[in-house]
Amino acid sequence: MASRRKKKAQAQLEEQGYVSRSQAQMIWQAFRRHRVGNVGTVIVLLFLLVAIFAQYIGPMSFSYQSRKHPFAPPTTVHWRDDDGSLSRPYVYATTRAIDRTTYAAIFTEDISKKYYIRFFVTGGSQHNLFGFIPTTGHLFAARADDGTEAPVFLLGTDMLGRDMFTRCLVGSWVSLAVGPLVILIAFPLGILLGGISGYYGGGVDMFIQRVCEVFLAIPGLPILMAMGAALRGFGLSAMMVFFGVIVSLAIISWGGFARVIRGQVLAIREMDFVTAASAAGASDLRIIVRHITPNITSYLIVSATLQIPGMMLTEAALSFLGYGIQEPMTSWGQLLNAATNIGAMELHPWILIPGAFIVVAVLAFNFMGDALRDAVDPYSIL
Amino acid sequence: MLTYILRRTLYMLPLLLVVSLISFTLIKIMPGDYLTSARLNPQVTEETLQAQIERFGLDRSFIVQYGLWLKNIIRYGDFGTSFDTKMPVYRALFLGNKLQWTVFIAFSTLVLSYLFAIPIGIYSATHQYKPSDHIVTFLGFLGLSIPNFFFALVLLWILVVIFKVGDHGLTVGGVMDLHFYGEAMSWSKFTNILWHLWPVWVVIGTSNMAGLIRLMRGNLLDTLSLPYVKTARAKGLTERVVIYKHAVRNAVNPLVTILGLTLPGLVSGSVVVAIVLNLPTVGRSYFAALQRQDEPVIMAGLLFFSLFLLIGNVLADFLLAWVDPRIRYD
Amino acid sequence: MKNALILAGLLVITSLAVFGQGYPTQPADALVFPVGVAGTVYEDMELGVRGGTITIANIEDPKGWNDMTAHETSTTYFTQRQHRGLVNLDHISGAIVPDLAKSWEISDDSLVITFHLREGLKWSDGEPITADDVVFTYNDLLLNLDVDTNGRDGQLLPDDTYPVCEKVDTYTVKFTMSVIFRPALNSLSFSILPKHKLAQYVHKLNPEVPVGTFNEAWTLDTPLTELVGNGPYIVTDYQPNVSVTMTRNPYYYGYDPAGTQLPYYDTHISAIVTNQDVSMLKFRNGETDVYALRPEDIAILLPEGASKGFHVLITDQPGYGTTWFLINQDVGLAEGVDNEKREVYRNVKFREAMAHCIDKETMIQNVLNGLGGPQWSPVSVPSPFYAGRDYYGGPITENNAVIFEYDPAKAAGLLDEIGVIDADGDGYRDLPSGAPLAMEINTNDNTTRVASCLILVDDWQAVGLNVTFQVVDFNTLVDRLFGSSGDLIYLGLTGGDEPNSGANVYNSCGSLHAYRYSACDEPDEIDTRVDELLGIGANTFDLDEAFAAYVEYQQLLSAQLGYIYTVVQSFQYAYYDYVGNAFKASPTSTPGGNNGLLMELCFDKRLL
Repeated sequence: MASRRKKKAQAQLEEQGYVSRSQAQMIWQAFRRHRVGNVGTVIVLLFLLVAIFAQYIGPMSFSYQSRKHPFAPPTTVHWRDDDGSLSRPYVYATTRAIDRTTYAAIFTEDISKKYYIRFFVTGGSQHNLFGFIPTTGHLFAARADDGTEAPVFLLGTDMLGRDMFTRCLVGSWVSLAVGPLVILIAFPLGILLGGISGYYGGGVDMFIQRVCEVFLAIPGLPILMAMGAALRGFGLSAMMVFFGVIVSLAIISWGGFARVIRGQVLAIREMDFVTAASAAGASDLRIIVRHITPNITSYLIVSATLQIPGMMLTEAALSFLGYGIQEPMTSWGQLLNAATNIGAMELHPWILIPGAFIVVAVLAFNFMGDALRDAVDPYSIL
Repeated sequence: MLTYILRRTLYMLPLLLVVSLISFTLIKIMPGDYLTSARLNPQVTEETLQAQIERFGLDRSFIVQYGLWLKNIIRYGDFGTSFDTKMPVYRALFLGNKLQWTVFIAFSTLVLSYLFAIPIGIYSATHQYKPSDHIVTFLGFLGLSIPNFFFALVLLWILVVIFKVGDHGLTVGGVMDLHFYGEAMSWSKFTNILWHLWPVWVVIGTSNMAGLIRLMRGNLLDTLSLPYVKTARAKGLTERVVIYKHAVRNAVNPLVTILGLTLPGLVSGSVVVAIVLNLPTVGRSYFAALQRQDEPVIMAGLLFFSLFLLIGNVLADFLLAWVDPRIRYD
Repeated sequence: MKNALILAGLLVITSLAVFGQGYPTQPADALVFPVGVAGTVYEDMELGVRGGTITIANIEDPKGWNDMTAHETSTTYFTQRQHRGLVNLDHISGAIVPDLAKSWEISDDSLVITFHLREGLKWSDGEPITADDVVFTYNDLLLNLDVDTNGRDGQLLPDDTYPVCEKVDTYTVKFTMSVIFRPALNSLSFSILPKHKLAQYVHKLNPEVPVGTFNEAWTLDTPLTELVGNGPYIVTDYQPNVSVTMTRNPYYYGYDPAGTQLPYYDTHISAIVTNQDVSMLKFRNGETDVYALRPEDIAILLPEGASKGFHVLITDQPGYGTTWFLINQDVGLAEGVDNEKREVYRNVKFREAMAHCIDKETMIQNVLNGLGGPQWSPVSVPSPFYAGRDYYGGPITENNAVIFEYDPAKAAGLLDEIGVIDADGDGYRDLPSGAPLAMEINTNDNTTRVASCLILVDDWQAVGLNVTFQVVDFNTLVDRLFGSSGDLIYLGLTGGDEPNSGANVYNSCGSLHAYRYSACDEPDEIDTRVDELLGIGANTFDLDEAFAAYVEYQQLLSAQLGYIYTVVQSFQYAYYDYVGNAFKASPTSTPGGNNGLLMELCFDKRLL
C-alpha cells in the first residue's frame, strides 16, 4: 500500500521533471556513461567466461604435443573453394620441412584433402568441464568427410607443437586469478589496520604503523625473488608455488594499502563534518562507516584498480626472472617468458600473442576500475 | 615537525634490524647454499668443500651466523666479504658507479614522469569523457599494461632490426658507448648518455605514469567538486584561475605524498629493466648475488633497498605535512 | 687544457710503467704458431697484422682477477688469457702441446716428468719468468691448504697423493709422482702466477699477513696496474656490468712464422651483457665481432649474413659435455621406503624400456632446431677417446656405439616382460605387486631441459608410465641428486677431452655416482670392471692401450644405463668477415663463451 503511494509520488515528480534515484542507481548510471569502462567490463567478463570454458573452446589439450608441428604458424582457414565460390570454412593438413641452406622451417599445405571446421563436436581430447564433468566435447574441430582430423592451430604452436590458442585460454586461469586473490587477502587487512591507525592515532597508530613499516620496508621485487627461490626449496608442486607467489604478493602489499588509507583517514578526520558528527555524539564505528569510508571509497577503488593489473604484471616479471609459474602449469606470464627470445620473436611472431592477452586484460581491468571510480563518485563534475 | 622527522629517522634502525632478521631467515630457507654448484663439479673433493664450508661459516647454526653478522656490523661497520668476489660487501654491491647510476636513473625517471603526468592528468580531468581524455587515458594505460621486460626487449629489437641504428654508429644497451667510460664529460658524451637513457625512461616511465595520471585526474575531479571551488567559480573567476590557482594546488597533494613512495619502487623495480637494458645498477649486483647465493651481498642488497624505502617513507610523511598544513602530528 | 696535457702525460708514463717495452728482438725460445705452415693443423690460416680491437660479449661479470681462486668461467675467461701454463691443450688438434715449457721428458718408469722452460721470457712488467714462479704456483698456492682453489683436487693422484714439484735449475722443474698417471700431464697445464707480485700475500712466505690473505688478493677492487701476467692479454680496464678491456702483453712469447709478435689485436674488449638476446642484438648491430649462437638464432642470422658482412659457421660435430637423465636406483633406500619401486628401478630391463622411449630425433629437430646430435657415451664426442671412433683420435664412425633406438612398442614389451603392467585398469602401469607406480622427473629452469623433459614425459605417458614433470630450483635439484629423495633427474655435466675427468662421476665410489651411491659398498660386476678400466686408462702413457680400455668403459656404462644420455647441441658461431682466422675455432664446453676461438691469432683484415 505504502509502496504504491511512493511509486505514484515518484511518477508525479518525474512528470514534473524531477528525478530521484538511490545511490546504487546513480552509480549504475554514472558507470553506464563511461563508455571505455563499459567496454573494459565487457572484456573482463568475456575473459572470465572464456576462462571457465577454456578446455571446451580450445580444440585440444593444452599439453598435447603435435611433434611434427613445432612453431607451426596459425593455420589458414579457407573460405573459398577451388573455383573461388564461398564454401564452408576448411583447413588443410600441413607438413614441416627444414631448408638445409637457410635453416628456416617451411610448412606446406597438403591440398589433396579438405578438413571442414565443424562445431560442437565430440570425440576430441578428454577434459573436465567446470572441473568435474568429464567430456570429449569441443567447440570446434576440423574433420574431413571420411572422419579423419587435421589440427587447427588458430594462434600457431610453440616449440613443442602445443596449441597456443588453447594454452592462452588455459593460461588465463592463473593470470586472472592472481590479482583478485592477492587483493582478497591484502585489502581487508589494509583497510582494517589502516583505518584503525588513522582514526585513533596515538599509541594504536604508532604500533600499527611500526608493524606496517616493517612490511613496507621489505623491498618488493627483490624479496619476491628471494621468496620465489625459497618456496621452491620445499620441493612444492607448481600449484603450491602459485599460491606461494600469491601469499608473498599479499604479504608485501597490504602495508601499502594500510598506509594510504591511514593518510586519507588522517586528513578526513580533521574535516568539519567529522568533528560535527563527533560532537553530535556519533560512535566511532558510525563515524568510520558512515562518514569516513564513503570519502575514501574512490581512493580505494583507484588503488585496487591499479593493483589487480599490477599483480598480473608482477607475475609476468617473476616468470621472466624464473621465480614465477613453472611448467607444466602455464600462465600468460610464463607463455610470454618463452617468447622473450628475440630469435623466436622474429621467426615465430605468433608466440607473442600471450603478450596481447596480458595487455588487453590489464587494460580492460584498468578501464573497468576507472569507470567504477567515476561511478562511485557520482557528484563529480561531468 | 623537526622532532617528528628526527624521531622517524631514528625509528629506521630497529626497522632495519627486523628486516635484516626476516631477510636472513629467508636466505637460510633457500635451498642449498653458495657451494651447491661446486658440489656438481667433478673436480672438487669433499675435503675442499668442507674447508670452504668452514671458511664461509656455513656450518654454524642460524643464530650464531646472524649474531656474528650483526656483531661485525655494529662493532666494525663491517658487512662482511662477498663469497663470490672476495671484496668487502659494499664494494661488491656498489662497484664502479653503480650507486650513482642507480640513484640517477631513479631520480631522472621520477622527475620526467611527474613532468609529463601532471599536465596530462590536468588535461584529462578538464576534458573528462571527451575523446582526448579517452585517448590520453588509453595511451597511459597501454604503457602500464606492457610488461617492462618485454617492452625493453621489443624496443631494443626495433632499434636494431627495424631502424638499424648500428648503421649510424649507434649502440644499444648500457648507459653510454664503451669508449666514453672513464672519459671526462663532454657534449658528445652527454648526448651519448641521453641516447642510451631514453629507452630506460620510456620503459620505466610509461609504466609509472599511468598511475600518476590517474591519480592526478581523479584528485582534480574530486577537488573540482569541493565547495571552495564552487565558491571560486561563483566569485566569477575564470576557469583557468579556478583550476590552476585553486584546484590543482590541492589536487597535487597526494601526488607529492606518493613521490616518496615511488622513488624506492623505481630503485628496486628497475631490476628487470636493468637486466634487459644492461644498466650498471645495484639491482644487477643483487640479482647476480641471488643467483649465486652470495649471502653477504644478498643481505646487504636487501638492506640497501630497505633503507631506500624507509627514506622514501620518511620523505613521504615530510612532504605530506609540508603540502597539507592541516595534518597534525601528535 | 693544461690539466688535460698533464693527465695525458701521466697516462703515458703509467702505461710505460705497467708495460715495459717488450722484447727487443724475437726471443730464441719464442713459441711459434705454425700459421700457414703446410702439414700442420694451422696450415689453412693466414698471417695477420697487428693492430685494432676485437669486441665480444660475455654474459656475466668476472668475479675477480685471481686465476688460482677463480671458480667459474666468467672469471677464467679473462685470467686464462692473462696467464698461461707449462703445457696447453691445443684448441684445434686437442693434443697436449708445449706452452711456457718448450719441451718435457717422461722418465723410463713413467713417474717423473721434467719440464724445460723457455728461456729469457718476461712477465708483462718486465720481470723474468723462471722455475721459481712454477714452484711458487704449485707448492705455495695450488697445494697450500690456506688457498681457496678448486684446482688442487685436479692434481690428486689415484693414491691420494700429489705430484712433488721441485726446481732443478732456473729453467727446469720436475714433477715426481708415486704412481703412473697419464692424465697428470693434462692437469699440469695450470696457469703460472708471478711470484714477485703475489708472494707477499701468502702467509706461508710472508708471515706478516694473516692466513687466507691470498684469497682476497687481486679482487675486482685491486688497481689494475697491479696485475701482471704471461698470457697474450692483460686486463687494463674494468667497468662493472659494462666491459672488460684487455691490452696486449708486450712480453707475450707467442710469434707467427713471419716474426710478428702475437696477439694480432692490440685490444680485446669484452662487453658484458645480461642475456643471450642482447648479445645477439649487439652482434647484429655490429657492436661485437664474434657471437656464439644458439640453435634458434641460426635461421635469423643466416639470411642476414650476406648483407651485413658476417659469416655463420655451422659444425655438425656435437660440442663437449653430456646431457642425461638418471633413474635413482637408490630411491627410498635411506628412508627404507619404496622397496619395490627401487627393485624395479634396479632392473636393467626397466631402464632399457625407459631408454627406448627417448625420441632423440624430435629433441634435436624441435628443441635444438636440427643443430645437435644424439648422445650415448659418457665421453664427449669431440674427445679423441670417444668410443665412436675406430682408434685414438680417429674419425667418427659410431662403430662401437651402444644405441637404444626410439621404439615405444619395444619399451612396452620390455615392461610387460618384467611385470610392470596396468593391473587396475586406470590407464597406468603398476608395479608387479599391483601397487601403483608413480614417478616424477625434475629439472631446473632451463628452456632446453624443460622442453626435453616434456617430450620424454609425453612418450612415457604414451606407453602407460605415470611420470609427471616438475621444474625445481637448481639448488633443490642438486640436493635431490645427492640425496636419495630424487626420483628421475634431468641434468647435464660439462666435459673435456680426458675421460679420467669423469672418474668422480663413474667410479663406483665417485661423489657424483648419483644414480646409485650404494654401488660403493655393494658394486656389481659392471661397477667393478668400470673402476678397473678407469685405472687402466689412467695408468698408461700408451694412448692405444688407454683407448681400448675407454672403449670398453664407455660401452659398459652406456649399456648399464646409469646416466641415460639424450642429445647434445652442436657447436656454431658467427663472425664478421673482417675478422681474420676466426673460422678456425674448436668446439667449446661452454656454448655461451668464445673460448674455442684462438684469440691471439685472429686479426683485423681491414688493416691489411
